[in-house]
Amino acid sequence: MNKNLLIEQFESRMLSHMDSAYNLARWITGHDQDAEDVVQEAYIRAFRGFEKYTDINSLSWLLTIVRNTSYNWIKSKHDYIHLIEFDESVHSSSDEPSFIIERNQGLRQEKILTSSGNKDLLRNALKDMPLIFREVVVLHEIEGLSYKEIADIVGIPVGTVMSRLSRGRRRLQKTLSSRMNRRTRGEL
Amino acid sequence: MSCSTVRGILYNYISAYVDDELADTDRTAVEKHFEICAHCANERYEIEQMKNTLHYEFAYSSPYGLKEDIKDKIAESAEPSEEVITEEKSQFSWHWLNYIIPPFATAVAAVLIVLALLPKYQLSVMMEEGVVSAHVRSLIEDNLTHINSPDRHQIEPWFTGKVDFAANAKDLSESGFDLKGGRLDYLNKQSAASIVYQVRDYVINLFIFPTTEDDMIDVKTYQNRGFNIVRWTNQGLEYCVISDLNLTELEHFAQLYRNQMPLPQSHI
Repeated sequence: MNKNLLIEQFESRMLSHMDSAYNLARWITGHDQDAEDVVQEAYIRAFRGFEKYTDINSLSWLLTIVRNTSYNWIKSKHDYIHLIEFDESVHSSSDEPSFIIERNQGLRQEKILTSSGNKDLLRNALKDMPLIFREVVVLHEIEGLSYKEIADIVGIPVGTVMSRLSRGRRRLQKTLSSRMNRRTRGEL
Repeated sequence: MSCSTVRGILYNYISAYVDDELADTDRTAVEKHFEICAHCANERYEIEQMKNTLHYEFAYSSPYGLKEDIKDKIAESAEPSEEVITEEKSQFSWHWLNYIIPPFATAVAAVLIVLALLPKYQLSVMMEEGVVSAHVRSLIEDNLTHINSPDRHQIEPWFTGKVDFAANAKDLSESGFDLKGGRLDYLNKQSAASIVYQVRDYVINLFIFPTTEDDMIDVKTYQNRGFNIVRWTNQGLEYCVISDLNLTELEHFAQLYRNQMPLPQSHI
């Protein structure tokens, strides 16, 4: 295929998923700059494979590559085991500036966790959650993907997606309520 | 539905309800349960609250300028010059390759030297032993197929990404050789694809793996521990058929399979 045409097709098909790609990389890596690097690398990889994979769900495909690239990044830069193991004692500080921009804001119907303090607690609870739960929650709750799409991206059965998601939610609820109690007692 | 069912560990109906992933009948049953159980109804409410907050407020937007950066990288990557890309990439995450490649290359070189020095007959004996062992293993471990299907169009894609060659699962059912599935195996220090066929009660393993040998015009046959083996090479791949089926029928099988293959390239 003509090179310029290929680039054009790739960009028109894939660049619209950039926010989703960045969001996933940002939640997996935990850092802005790393997420940018991962997304750029993922797009190059996707471009190299684009000619062969033109007839599939382009969002799922891109997110699969983003996820793999993020995991490689973690492996190369960090103690991988430490990051995926569950460790309730690891709580990161909540004073880190938040770069969250409310991308989905325009669609919002109701806002129930109204206190911004509680939202920070929830955000940190998600940030501290083990990666195997976190990625499923991010893909489902934030990106709005179906169980089936997540199963394809993560490479696990649909049943496992569902159980990780419900366990992830339970963990979030527990962590949130325990931190709310600790804050009430002045410990946080 | 009871609370313990609704909040099952393996299948949480409240979660699936909120996600709209339940079948209609289950959905109705869960709704009935919410009517009589305030505890579960409250759980649903809490999950929905959290879901809304996560969805509408926790999405990161990509930073300004990222799109242009990506476009630049893609344009760069589409250039024929590979050097620039390699340099760019090495800053990112490919450092580990520097640690992998030297020992890997040494290992490959060592294997090649050993292979070159080994007398050919010894190699084929080793190969024969390996094939017999793999065949027997597949029969005794209840591990005959990893993908279980009579359809070549399901078996062949399954191997994609698992082996670095095309493992063709030809449909020979018209001749009585039914396709059962495929299995990933390990032969002669490398990954091998096994296509599994069955005729009457006889299981046939067709192993496919890369080889450096030239294409063969005729098949070679062997017998080892009561098994018949038919092997040939074609376009860089070795095909090795093994079964306790009699040799005549096994050769017939090999012939049928080969008839659907491109012709050998050398020795003509």
